Amino acid sequence: MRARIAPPDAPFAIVEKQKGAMRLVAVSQAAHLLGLTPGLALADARARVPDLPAFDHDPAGDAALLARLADACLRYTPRVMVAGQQGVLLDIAGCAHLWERPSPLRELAVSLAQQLQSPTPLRLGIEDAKSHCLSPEGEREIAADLACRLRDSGLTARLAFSVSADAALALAVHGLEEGQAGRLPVTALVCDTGVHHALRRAGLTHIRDLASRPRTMLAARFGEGVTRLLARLLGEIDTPIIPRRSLAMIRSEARFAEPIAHADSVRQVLAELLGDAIRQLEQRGEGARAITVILSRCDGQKAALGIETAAPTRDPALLMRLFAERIDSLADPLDPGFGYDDIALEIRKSEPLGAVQTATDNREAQTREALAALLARLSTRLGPERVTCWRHVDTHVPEEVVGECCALESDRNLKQKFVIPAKAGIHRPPVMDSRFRGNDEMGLEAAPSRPLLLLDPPQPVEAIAEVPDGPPYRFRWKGTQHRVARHEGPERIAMPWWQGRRRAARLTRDYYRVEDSEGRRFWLFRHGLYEEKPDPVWYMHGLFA
Amino acid sequence: MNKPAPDSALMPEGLPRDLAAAGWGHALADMREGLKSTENKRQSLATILGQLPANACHEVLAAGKADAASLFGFGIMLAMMLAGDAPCFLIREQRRGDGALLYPPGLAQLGLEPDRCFSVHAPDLLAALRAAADIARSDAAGAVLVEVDGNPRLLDLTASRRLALAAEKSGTAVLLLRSGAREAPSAAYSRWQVRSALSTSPALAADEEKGLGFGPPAFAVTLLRHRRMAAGMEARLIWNVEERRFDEQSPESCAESDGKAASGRLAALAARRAAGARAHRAA
Repeated sequence: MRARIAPPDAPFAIVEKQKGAMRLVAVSQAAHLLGLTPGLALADARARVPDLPAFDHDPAGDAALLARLADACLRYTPRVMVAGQQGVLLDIAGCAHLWERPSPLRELAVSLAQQLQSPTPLRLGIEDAKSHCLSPEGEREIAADLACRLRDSGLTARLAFSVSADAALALAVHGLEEGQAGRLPVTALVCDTGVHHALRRAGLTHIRDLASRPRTMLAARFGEGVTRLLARLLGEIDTPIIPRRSLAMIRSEARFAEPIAHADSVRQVLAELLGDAIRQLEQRGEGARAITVILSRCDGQKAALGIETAAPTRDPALLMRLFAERIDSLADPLDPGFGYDDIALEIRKSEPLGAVQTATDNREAQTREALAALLARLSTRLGPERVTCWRHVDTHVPEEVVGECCALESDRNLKQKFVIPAKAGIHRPPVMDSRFRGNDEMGLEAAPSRPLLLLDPPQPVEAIAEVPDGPPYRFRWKGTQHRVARHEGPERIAMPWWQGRRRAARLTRDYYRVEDSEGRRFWLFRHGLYEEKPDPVWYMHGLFA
Repeated sequence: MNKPAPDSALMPEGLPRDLAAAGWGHALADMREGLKSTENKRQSLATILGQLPANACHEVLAAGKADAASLFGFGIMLAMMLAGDAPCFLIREQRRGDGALLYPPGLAQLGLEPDRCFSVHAPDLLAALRAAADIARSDAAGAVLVEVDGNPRLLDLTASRRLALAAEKSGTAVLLLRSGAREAPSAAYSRWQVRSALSTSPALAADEEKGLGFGPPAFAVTLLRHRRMAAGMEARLIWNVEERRFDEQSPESCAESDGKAASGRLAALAARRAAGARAHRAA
């Protein structure tokens, strides 16, 4: 049903397949009046209301809508949390005063009783919560503003205020107002249905019944957890909410009286915001590592651009260049729509950076800075996972010795001088034949024991060895026959016996370096000794230069 | 003509002033140097390699599809010679199904510290070339190696000229490693062809029949093009890890070790089989 085709007051339902039968997940206002409730089977519902339009349940779409709503609520307070499948919690402690007058600590809960979960906007009624006369005007302003916006976007919502998050959510779900926590049914306690049944059988149907009983009795019968939940509902204990976005340390924002859409003006504003943020960074003695820019369109959509640098920096030219690269490399180009209302710049990650000399004669520092700038530029354009450097892992298994990590994250190369690593872990096996040891200066010491290119995974070859335990004298790889002219080895590498449940993972490998008649050098291994495996397979693991 | 004033050091004496102003001095100086080098025909390929300028674009081709490892090895050794201690960047196109990765312990044993290498996995050739141009323009890198497959249309004369200009200005060496490519005109200073060659070392002589032993990496290198001298020289070069340069192997010892290696193992086998057959017949 689209709002154009059928009148919005018609009954319809959202269905989902549960346990083999199609059941109603949510019903519209009109359908509710006709007596349909969630949980009913679709067949029964159709029996009562013939030709009931039914739509598929789309939990992912609902979650996305809730997420967008929560992001839009960031205009009131930075601490917003999505609660459950239908609720959004806002903590407006300290924010309400921006909207008129100072207010005591309060929390506001907005529960969207999404009876209509279709993505198309539909016109529905709104229940506006009337808070107590004790609440200040700021809260009322926030509520009114929020209700107005929700109404404009066509969603039903119930708003409720309370001192604790749980209470606010429960009040909004059940459509009550602040202070009426006593009228909540016991199902508002977030625990097993078994506990609900037990409470109802004991004659306790509402929270006010529970509140009037001594807590020790409840704890003795139902457990400590229930009393904690009760206390949270009544507002005695407060649990903090986990905000969707953590607050950035440094933030500068610009709001416009009229939305701007032109790319040049956006860039100008960005430069000004950067200047402001850099001033704040200077005061703290820090440099920025990761910056995010959030552009809010006037219809509520937000776009975020993020950049990362390899070394902390306060250079505005470099950062502007990185932003230009980021905008160029976006998959979908930035669409300002009718214009941007608000542009905010946040420094997500910063590191200490001392005062920078403007004229550095230090060649080393200059090259390090140039290298950092180059890495930042490449990572911004291609993505940080495409610009990598190698990290050494302490293991004797050849394919695990090396790990790749993003060049941005490794501080090694930028903070200190390049040091030649001690060749620890690069195992040079003792030459099997002692005649070559110390024979001449350009003997086997100059031959590398590890290949230049490693094949991942090792490719199987058909090899024929003279002696079962010996090196191959002929092998076939990728369809070509190779005749072995020289060989060296074996180098025995045993797999860690404490890892790998399968036998195959624990077979010993005998590595041979072979050179064929045309001068190509390979690194072969025989997977499994003859004692371990009756018919071992040969693999090609690497190629030498 | 708005050419910059040529260096007076390179200026041949007695050149008429209008020709000098027209920029002909450079061409004449080049010719003179070229003539000087052809006099010295004995200049070995190893020396030529050692004298390659670091602020230029060089190209290396692989002789066949199976010579990929030799191509990489030669390219990396050349980068080591040109870059010195500065960081190296390696740009590869991310191809599916290509399982050969660079192995840092192998690099370290050839003499290049993996600590100062960065690899860039480009999504396609255009991104790879752009990244190469960026790296070449910055003076932080010592050498950048770009792996290119075949003769793509993107890598034409303009693109290579851009890379060469960037390299000249900043002093970064640009090496194009082309596998499976045929010779095509480009703005590279020099072009080399690499093929794998049997390794050799004096210690192997003793055990040639048994087929034991492995020498340091060896390549059969051909100079296809050089800006200052005639091309066409071939040699077998061996990499010297400690001194970070190529050593040339004389042609006589090449042939000797080739013959020995080729015949060594099989000769032994054949001899043993023949002896066995004779014994069998006799019995």
